[in-house]
Amino acid sequence: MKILRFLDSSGDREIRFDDSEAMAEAKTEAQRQFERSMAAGAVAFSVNRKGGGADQKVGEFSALEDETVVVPRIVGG
Amino acid sequence: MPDCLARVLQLLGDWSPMGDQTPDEVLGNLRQGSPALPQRIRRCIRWLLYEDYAVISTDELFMEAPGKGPTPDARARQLLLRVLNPVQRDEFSRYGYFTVDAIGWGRFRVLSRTTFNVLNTGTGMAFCAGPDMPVPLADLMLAQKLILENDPERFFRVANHRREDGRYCGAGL
Repeated sequence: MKILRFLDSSGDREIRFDDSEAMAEAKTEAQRQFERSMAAGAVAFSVNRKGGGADQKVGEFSALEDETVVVPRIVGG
Repeated sequence: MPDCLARVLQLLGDWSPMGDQTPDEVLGNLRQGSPALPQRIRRCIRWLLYEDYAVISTDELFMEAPGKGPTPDARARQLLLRVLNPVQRDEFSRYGYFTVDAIGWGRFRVLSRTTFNVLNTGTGMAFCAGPDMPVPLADLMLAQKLILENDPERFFRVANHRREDGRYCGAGL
């Protein structure tokens, strides 16, 4: 099971999916939202990685690991 | 996730009427709401996750009543605590800030406030940049941590900065 978390005003919005047929719809929705966010300037990071690896920037949906945090486009405050 | 916690969650999953849940799914469901879960077990799970009781209250870690989800601030804090490394988590629980190393840029302290909260520990210069939409404070700090540690150029390209004496210096570096 993979988890995509989009940071927003609710804390984070979560989509869970895997490669099974039962979750095909969730996976399609996850990919659609991921790609739309990235096109809008968001940046994604793999977190809590297996083996305790450091967090890592990820750009492709196919490269997502177990848990990914999508940070919206950042701007100067 | 510690092995012992995974085992506990596996046992809870085996008892669940839904069955066939992974430990991560069980933990996710518990956080989303399991009012029947005894407080003692909540405390046990919190200890297995964080060891230090002061890091997070059980109210923050779990919902307290059916149909009542965690608040945005609580959700954001849960996520931040899970992503911080152990040293950062300890710092955050003790002092309300944590330290990150931005390769090629230096060491920065991420403070619990919404503006100019990224402080260069060497120069005292304060930086301000965050998501282009309103997010809870803990999400802002999480976004800053992830970007500073993994894509610092992105942060400094847009961040406003000012000197320690509060004098505004400009936008972007």
